Amino acid sequence: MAHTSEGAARHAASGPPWMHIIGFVLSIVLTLAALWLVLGHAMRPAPLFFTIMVLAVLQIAVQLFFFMHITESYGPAWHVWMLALGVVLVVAIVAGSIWIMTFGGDVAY
Amino acid sequence: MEAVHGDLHTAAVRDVPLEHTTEDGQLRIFGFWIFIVSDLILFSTLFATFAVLRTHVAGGPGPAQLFDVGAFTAETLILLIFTVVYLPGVM
Amino acid sequence: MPVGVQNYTTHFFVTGDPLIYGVDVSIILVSLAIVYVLTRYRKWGWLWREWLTTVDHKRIGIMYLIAALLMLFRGGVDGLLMRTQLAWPNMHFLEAEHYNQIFTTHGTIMILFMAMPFIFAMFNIAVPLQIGARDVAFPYLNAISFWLFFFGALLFNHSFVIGGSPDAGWTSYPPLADLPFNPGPGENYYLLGLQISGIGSIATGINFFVTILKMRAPGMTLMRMPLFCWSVLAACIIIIFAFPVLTVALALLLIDRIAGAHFFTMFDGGNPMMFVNMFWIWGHPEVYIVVLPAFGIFSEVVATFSRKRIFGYSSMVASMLAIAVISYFTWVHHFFTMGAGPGVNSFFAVATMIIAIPTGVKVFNWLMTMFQGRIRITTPMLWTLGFIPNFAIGGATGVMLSVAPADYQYHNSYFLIAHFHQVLIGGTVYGMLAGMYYWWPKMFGFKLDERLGKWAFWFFNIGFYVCFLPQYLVGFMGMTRRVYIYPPGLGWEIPNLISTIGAYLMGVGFILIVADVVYSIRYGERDLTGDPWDGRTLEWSLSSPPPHYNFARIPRVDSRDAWWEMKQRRQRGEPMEEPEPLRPIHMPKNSGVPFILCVAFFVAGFGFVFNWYVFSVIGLLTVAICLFHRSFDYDTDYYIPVEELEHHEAALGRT
Ligand code: HEM
Ligand SMILES: [Cu+2]
Repeated sequence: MAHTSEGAARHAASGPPWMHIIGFVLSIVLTLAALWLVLGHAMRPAPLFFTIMVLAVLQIAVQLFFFMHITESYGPAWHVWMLALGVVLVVAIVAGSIWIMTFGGDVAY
Repeated sequence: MEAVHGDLHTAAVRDVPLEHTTEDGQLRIFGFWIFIVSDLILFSTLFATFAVLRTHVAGGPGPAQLFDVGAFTAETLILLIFTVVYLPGVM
Repeated sequence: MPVGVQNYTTHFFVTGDPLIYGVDVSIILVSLAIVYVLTRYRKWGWLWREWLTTVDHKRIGIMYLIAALLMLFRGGVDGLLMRTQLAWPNMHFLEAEHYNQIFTTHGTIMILFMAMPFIFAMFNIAVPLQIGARDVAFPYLNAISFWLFFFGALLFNHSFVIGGSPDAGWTSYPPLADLPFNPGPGENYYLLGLQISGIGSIATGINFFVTILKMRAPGMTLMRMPLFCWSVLAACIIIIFAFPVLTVALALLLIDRIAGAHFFTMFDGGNPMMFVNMFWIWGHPEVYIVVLPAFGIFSEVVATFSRKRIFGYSSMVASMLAIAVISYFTWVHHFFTMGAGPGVNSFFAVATMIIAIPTGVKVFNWLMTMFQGRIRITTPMLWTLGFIPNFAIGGATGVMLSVAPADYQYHNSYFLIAHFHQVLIGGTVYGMLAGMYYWWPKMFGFKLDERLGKWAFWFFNIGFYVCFLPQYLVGFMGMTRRVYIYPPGLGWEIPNLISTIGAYLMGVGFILIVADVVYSIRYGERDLTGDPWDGRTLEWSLSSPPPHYNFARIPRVDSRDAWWEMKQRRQRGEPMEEPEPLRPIHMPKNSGVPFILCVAFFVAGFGFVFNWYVFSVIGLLTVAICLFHRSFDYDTDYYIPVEELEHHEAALGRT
């Protein structure tokens, strides 16, 4: 009934908290990679933008799984559904606004 | 009858992490997630504004002049390090 | 008087208008009267202990209700003033500037400070009782939400007598709302008032979302929930996703105004349309936030007074969830005329038309529920029946408006005004009044008088059509919104005159509602059973009003319309389960901190309005202290012992 086996296991296990250490290292690596790509002008703007976005999404995933324990919940994981819907609407807001506001010859982006 | 999810009154509490063991704790964690969702929208609106107005600098300084790379790198790293400062305590 | 002081007072207090002096006098008199009564009857302690510090959802609901009715009154007076000015060509009742202020405060108050608290009143009153819970998930936060709304509204309403009202419309579009075109504190009042109450709205959205998903009685699966709870759930989803956008839009406009930024200015790279874009990303979902709970109430009322299960329960649920999501993809229909291009306009036009489909499904379900039902025409049912044709017309004109090329003609004409009043009044206000009449006995233990209630309905309903149907017409004739005067000879006279008459009829309707309340306090039929309407859902299983802990024993649910089924079973003489022994009940403690916290928000807001940042700093510091206090306060709850419960239940005649 409780969908928390993974979380419980994590808490039950003693020894160094590997999950957090791995998460920490990953988050640092992702950050530095993005920084290096931009400062070093490693790519042309369009692919650069795309790569940065991918790194950002990975970073979010690292935070959600390793630090915020998104998988732990008691009962159905409504919060995951809400986050998913949130992501859809985030795209609607950001992409929609860019699309809508790029009118009359004004180049918004 | 099948157990009803979302019902806390009969919550048989076992095998769950500490912060989920009380009804109060469960409600708060769930509420916190929903708050995060609303924050997601808040920040995306700020990003949208940035994206739309990015080039509208009216001859003033642009991002390249304004963003202090050293400072925001340091801030980001400090922020990330804060996610693990409690580690020495639990180790 | 020294010149400086005089200068200061004439700018601080709004002067020069007899209407406003009249308001000044009445505000002072009413305040004195309140203070006198409270002091004379030694009620200050009672006010503080029982109301200002309460975390009980039922009391918070009642306070929301009172505030909403007061704001309905103020917004209504604004409306009547406008209609009086427009009754005939070349009227000189209001000046242009005053007219602008009045339509601005009218719109803002009606949406943010009438409709929102009214739906929150219904959330608070009904949801925990319907799902068999003892309170909401976060009672303390609930109190904060209420007081944030209250002080946001209070701040906004101060603008009328101190500093001057905002006058850029309830949409507050820049550049008109930006500093160069709108100096003075008026727009700041708008921005801060909405910001403060908006924080409260987000908190309420989260609170009820969690309450509904996590605190249902055992056995009440989601698909066994009363439809009103579903409508609240859908509305909460929209609140959570829409209100943060408003927060950002208001904050950036405020930064433009008080810190000289250029997000939305005409010059220096600003783009005013970006505000419009963000405003409607919130604004369209907002109209569904206020109408979905009304749909929920109609569903409850129709089922109860047709003595039938609601027809098409799952399609009702599906359509509400569909509306909640689709309403997020229609916002550009409010500014088709910006000219974003055929791609954008067609996308949003089609999305807008699609949303009419689930709405239509619901209308059919209500009709089918009544079909072959044993219908009782009570006041709540009358408001529901009145709503259906209203919404049919409002929906149809909405679809007309959503045709982007045609909208270039209708946009910002009186046709638009008639459309949204038809859905907002015919939908939201009718729904809330239906809910108020329906749950009144539950809240207060007596019914509102049916005869007066029916008179009120008929005045209001007929007045509504007399007021707004001519506006469709005069819109086609080219009358645009927000004009304060018009010349004779355009053919606009007669429709406008009729419209004004209708508005006054609605005013009479409102007065009759107030009269009904006053009359019924004394003579209304007392509700001794707790189930005056022969209801179907769990709130009717409790005494009226319910005890502060709601349910002595949490009910077990095994079907939809749980209370109805229990009654049926009892009638068939099936054996009742032995009641479980009572157990101590865990309850939240009252606290004065939410009130103080929100006073601090008020002070901070006031500081921002007048750029007196000392106030802002003091206010925000106090906010921080209150939050800190809460974080380290571990004495937040208590248990009601079993003996006390037994005592209470016995006093209510229940065992
Ligand atoms: C069948 C569903 C509906 C459709 C297709 C629809 C369509 C539209 C369209 C296209 C406009 C913009 C017209 C213009 O500015 O030229 C509009 C305005 C408006 N609608 Fe609706 N609508 C619907 C339902 C509702 C509901 C349920 C409400 C509120 C409860 C509502 C409230 C408003 C308001 C307040 C405005 C105008 C706001 C302003 O400009 O100040 N509508 N509607
Ligand atoms: Cu809309």
